[in-house]
Amino acid sequence: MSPLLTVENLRVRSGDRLLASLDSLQVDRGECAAIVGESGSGKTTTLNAMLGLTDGLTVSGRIAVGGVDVVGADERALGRIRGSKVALISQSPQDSLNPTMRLGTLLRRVLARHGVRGAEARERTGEALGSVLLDPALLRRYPHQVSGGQAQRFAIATAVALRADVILADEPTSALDVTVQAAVLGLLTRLREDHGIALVFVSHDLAVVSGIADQVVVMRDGRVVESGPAAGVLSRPSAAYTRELLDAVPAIGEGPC
Amino acid sequence: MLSAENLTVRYGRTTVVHDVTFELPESSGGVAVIGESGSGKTTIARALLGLVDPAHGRVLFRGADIARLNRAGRARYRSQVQPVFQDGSEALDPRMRVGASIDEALRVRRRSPGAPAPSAADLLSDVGLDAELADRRPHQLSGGQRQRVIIARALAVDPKLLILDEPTSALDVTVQARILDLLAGLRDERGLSQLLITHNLAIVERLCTTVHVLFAGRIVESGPVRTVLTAPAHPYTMALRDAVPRLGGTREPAGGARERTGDGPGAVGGPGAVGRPDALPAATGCPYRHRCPIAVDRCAEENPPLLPFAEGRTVACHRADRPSGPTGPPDAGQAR
Repeated sequence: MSPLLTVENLRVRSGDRLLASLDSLQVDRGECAAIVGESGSGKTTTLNAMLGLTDGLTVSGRIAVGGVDVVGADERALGRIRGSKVALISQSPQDSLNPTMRLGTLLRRVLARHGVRGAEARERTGEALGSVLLDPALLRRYPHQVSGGQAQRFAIATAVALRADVILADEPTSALDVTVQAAVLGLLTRLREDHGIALVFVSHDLAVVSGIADQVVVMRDGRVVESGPAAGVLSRPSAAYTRELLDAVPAIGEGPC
Repeated sequence: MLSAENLTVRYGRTTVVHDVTFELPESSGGVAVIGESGSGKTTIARALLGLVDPAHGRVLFRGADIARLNRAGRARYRSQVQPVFQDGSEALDPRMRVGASIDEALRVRRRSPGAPAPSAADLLSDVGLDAELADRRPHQLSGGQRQRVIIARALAVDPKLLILDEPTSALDVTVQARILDLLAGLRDERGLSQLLITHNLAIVERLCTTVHVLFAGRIVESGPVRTVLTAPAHPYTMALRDAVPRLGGTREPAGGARERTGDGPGAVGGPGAVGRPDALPAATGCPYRHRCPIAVDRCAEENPPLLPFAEGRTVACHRADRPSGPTGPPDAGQAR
């Protein structure tokens, strides 16, 4: 079976400037690939390219999600891919939810847009909320009435309800408390195991990545400085820059006192 | 130098800080207040800065109640205690060049007697920034540079204490590490005291020797950072410690039939200890009991008081004296 996500010779440019490049990435069912780097490294640009969110940029190379090509696809084709095949989870989901609608309405509309209505929609909603451990009563609330962790769970539930094969997560836990972060990371891991969802996880924090990723791509200034299986990259980094990122991770028990 | 005595703060009918007492001794190694969103930690910072009035209790600076200071006393207090908040972009006037922002703070210093005031360029170099950045406006700087500018401006009035509220939470880990180094340097070289307020236990050890753990507006555990982190006595402290992402973590065995929310790689936290981070504090009994993996009947009836636990430590937990009980967390008490 071919991988759920394939990237080959991707180049994203703004005019002459190279924003992101990625020669090769394959993510299979149930796998997690992490793209790691600092602000400005091109990690979010790479993720956006996987969704076809590249207005005003020049993209070359190939990205295939579930066998469908993203680069060069028209808006209608992209509309079918987004949501049903690939879902995005951003750093602050509350900002991307319409503040004037209850969560239940938002979810119903998204499902309807992908042709899921009535009993089927209700069934999928129940299942999805159960899989992210969210109380169905929250569907009556507006986005600002839920916590950051709950909003993130709702975003993940939406992806589950749409039966997305691939979840693209852009710093999904950076705005959360550490305890809530741990719960959301555990949830993403369980969805990979139970539903075979492939995950692309963008983060600046190698410690977070080490708990979740099978493979790691380290980016800097739009280029890949190192990539490979997570265990190897994190325990025996070959690039000095990766070591720098590893050294920056604060750890309990290594303090100065 | 600074202390909170039975500090209680209410917003309307909601009590957000309950009877909190702690001290920040002169030239101490830094004190941390740790807790999650909604725990009341930022309200404590605001009360210490005199920005919100306590409903009960008081804040003492060198023995004087800050609510009773006269104008001059209040001005002196404000110059000696400086805040550094999370998001530097909101703390700086977007229209002013950063050099002018720092100069504005320096004018206060120049009016008061004492050693000659430094220049804005001196302060920028003290925080590791190029003096040329003085001509930039805040939006032309990176997040790390802005946070350094905020620290430089705080230093302009020659403070004795910095109140740091999540000073690095909005930054990349590499930038965070450099800002923590800068703060540790200021503490060691200038004897600048620091009160660190954060949700992340991992950064506490870099700057502090004493930690107070806050849950639902109450201190639930206090003590030396090293012993509290290696052998937490309160289940909430354990949850905070286990939630810190670690490099090279391995999967830990799941803790029996506990809530699955916390399941996941050991690297991102032991399963049972994290429990249900979204659960609201309980209104009666121990506020932590809805999340607590070791709660017993008594926890629903009685809110445990903060009592001595070991040398220099206090904890508010009915189960604290027998942390390895039959249903206790796997590594409670005996960790390390």
